[in-house]
Amino acid sequence: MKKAIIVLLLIAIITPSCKKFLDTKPTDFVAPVNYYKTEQDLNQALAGVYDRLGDMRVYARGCRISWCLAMSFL
Amino acid sequence: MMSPYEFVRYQLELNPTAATEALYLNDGKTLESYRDVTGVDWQDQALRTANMQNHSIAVRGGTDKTKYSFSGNVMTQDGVLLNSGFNRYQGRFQIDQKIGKNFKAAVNVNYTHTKRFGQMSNQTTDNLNGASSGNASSYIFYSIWGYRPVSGGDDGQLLEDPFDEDITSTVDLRVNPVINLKNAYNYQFRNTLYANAFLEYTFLKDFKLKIAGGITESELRGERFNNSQTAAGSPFTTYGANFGVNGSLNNSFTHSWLNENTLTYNKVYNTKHQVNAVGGFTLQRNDVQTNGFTAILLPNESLGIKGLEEGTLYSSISSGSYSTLASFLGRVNYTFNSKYLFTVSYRADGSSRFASGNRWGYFPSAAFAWRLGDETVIKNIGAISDAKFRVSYGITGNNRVSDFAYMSVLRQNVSSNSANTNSGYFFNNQFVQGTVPTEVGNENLVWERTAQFDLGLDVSMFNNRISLVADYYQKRTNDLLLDATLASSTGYGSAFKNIGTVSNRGLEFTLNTVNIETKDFSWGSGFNIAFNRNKVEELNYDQSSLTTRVGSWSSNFNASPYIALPGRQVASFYGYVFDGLYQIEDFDRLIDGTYVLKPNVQNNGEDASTIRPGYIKYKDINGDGIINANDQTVIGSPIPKHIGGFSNNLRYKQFDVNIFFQWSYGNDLLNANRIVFEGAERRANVNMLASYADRWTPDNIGSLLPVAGGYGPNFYSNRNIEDGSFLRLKTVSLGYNLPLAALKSLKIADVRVYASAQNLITWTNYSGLNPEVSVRDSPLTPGFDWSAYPAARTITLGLNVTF
Repeated sequence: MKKAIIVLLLIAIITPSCKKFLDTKPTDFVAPVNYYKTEQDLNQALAGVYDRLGDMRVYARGCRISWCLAMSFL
Repeated sequence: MMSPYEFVRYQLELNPTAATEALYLNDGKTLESYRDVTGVDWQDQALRTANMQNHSIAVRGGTDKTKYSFSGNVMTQDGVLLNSGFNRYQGRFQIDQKIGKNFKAAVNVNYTHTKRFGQMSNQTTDNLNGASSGNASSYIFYSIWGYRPVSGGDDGQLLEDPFDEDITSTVDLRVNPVINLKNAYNYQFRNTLYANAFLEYTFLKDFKLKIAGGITESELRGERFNNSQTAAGSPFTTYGANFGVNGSLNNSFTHSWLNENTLTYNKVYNTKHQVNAVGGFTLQRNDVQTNGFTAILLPNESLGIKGLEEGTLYSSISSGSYSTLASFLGRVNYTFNSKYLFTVSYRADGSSRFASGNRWGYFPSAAFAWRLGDETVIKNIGAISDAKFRVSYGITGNNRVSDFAYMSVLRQNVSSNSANTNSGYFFNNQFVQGTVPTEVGNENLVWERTAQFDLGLDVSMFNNRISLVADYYQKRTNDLLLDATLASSTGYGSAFKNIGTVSNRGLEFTLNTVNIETKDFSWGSGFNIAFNRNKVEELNYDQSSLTTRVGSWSSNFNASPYIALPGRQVASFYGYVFDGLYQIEDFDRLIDGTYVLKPNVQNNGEDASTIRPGYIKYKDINGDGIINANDQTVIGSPIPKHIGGFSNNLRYKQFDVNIFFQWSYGNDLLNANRIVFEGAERRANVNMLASYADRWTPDNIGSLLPVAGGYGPNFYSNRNIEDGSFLRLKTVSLGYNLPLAALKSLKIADVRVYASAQNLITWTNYSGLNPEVSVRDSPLTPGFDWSAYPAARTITLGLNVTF
């Protein structure tokens, strides 16, 4: 019986560390909670919004694919 | 498919222009000249009879204290599509060891290497990464079925040219299927190592402590090389012209571990009360890492996939994620007099895939069984040899969502527009990377919970000659988790949601009988049938229905052919109701010979001025005089009324025969192959199904197939819903066991020679290749058929030797 109690005690110790074990953090993307903190973040967010203006279906209409590719490497 | 004669007749009807005539009626040819032309049978060219081999060896042995076994297996299977196949090499090792009086240990290791290669029928041929692009013509079966049988010129040239010179390669991605398949370099290599071990310690007589651990290491490497003869690498296609010869390499590593710790208590009191109690906790973690790149404009085609570094980097990927799961569990079994069996269990699972407040799910269950056969009342009924009554209720959980589905995702370097430039904008002529939200998170995600009630009865009669198992179950799933498609106006394609409540109830019967049993001859049969009814009880987010699109097969068909409605089953086919074809009397004939729809005749959802005799008509369900999305209704059920199997085992002396039938009854299928190849594809020079030869023409007004080019709007309708019920002779096998006397002198214990055949005969009204089809298989989109890999008829010859 004693040994059973030891095992139960072990479980009691492990339980609180479970919370930490389950608290995972994303490793390959940025979540909105960690973003929009610096001026650079905000500029990039704005550039993301303006991005659509350069879409082939908006103002980039008529630009040839190879030329558009070259633009992005400027 | 249509014969050359029918194909040319169709082309002349579809595009009655000088160009078409110049193409097919050159050098004084007429339609009749094609009467005896055989043309190219592309399906015959692209499919083949393939070989399969399977070899296994197993060794077992040991002593009182040590037991071991190891086994090996090699399987090579060629696919029925040219240049495709699957190979598997597997090795396994297991050892059990008793250590002293109280300890026991075991190790089990399994290693598998698989190789899968060839053009996948459910993937597109044209795209750089083999991803789907939503152009129906980029699927291999489109090319196999749609590639024309005659070119009007030299048909030998048609076989040799990788592309048809008379098609517009920018919009029509059809390729010579034979050349494309032969040149396809598309490999998936997977190595999986699975190892687990445990240590068991027995103490105080009744207690057992078991600590078990396991790891799974999986490595997947995808290689794709598009040379100049393939759709994605040829200078004649849009992709190939822009990107040249190209290729990609992708790696994915999965690493997971599991630790299980349980304490078991086992005790019998007064020989009547048997108690077995288990308590424990388990931990597991799963890591995934993916990386790879795509290179374009490769200068040395001959180097193949190994020369990828000489090209220009087109895109690269590096990502990774992980999830954890912790569980506490307890279970008590109590048996009284070996007659009454009680079980109560409880588990708590914590999953990292939910937001911190929603991580834990609690799942209790209880069961009771009564061995009626041991009661004297039952024993006195001579006919009944054994009986058992079972009842159980329990809740189970499901956390199948992506690792961080509760979080929104921001990304940079997203290829954003059709020029495949990176997202961003120029501020003061300086390029600034743009941050773009790419996925929307759902913080409210919770465990999906299924409560299940089961009632069962097992009875065997006449000395176990007849045994019957009957089960009734009722399941209710709350907070069903699904990656639901979102309205395009949200800017996101899909997101995980707890979409609602679904219930399932059903009956299952299994009947096994021994019909004849003598020394030389025996016959036994098994029969099983299952009825299941499912129902959407309720949809969350106040939705009145949930419609689902079928992604990336054809961007022309963007409507949702599936609907889930509260009070009805989870998936029903949804679309317009076919109302016959427009006939000549529906039109006024103008002096110049053109037909104009009479003003009182309903249009079909397209402008009345475009409609001609022989075009498809749809029913105006709500009677508002307009054919639009509101005229869609439930047009079929992809869910069977019952499914089952029937098997027979016969033995005569050393011979044995097994015959197994399988069926499904009452389910419909959506045959998208027939949408495209019975008139919806209106491009020139595409061959159609042979059935389309009987289409509507002024001389064939009784036909229900639209006139050439007369498909009308791109709707899903009950025209393409077909009965998918089938009865299939699934397996027939014949075996012969060598007589024992002959083997004794050779020290061989047993030799068995056998032959077996799969999918021999199928009885069905379904017009497609295989009624057991579901290319976008999910609870919401079952039974969709488009460019499906055909089911092969397999004949196997085998030999088993036991020493």
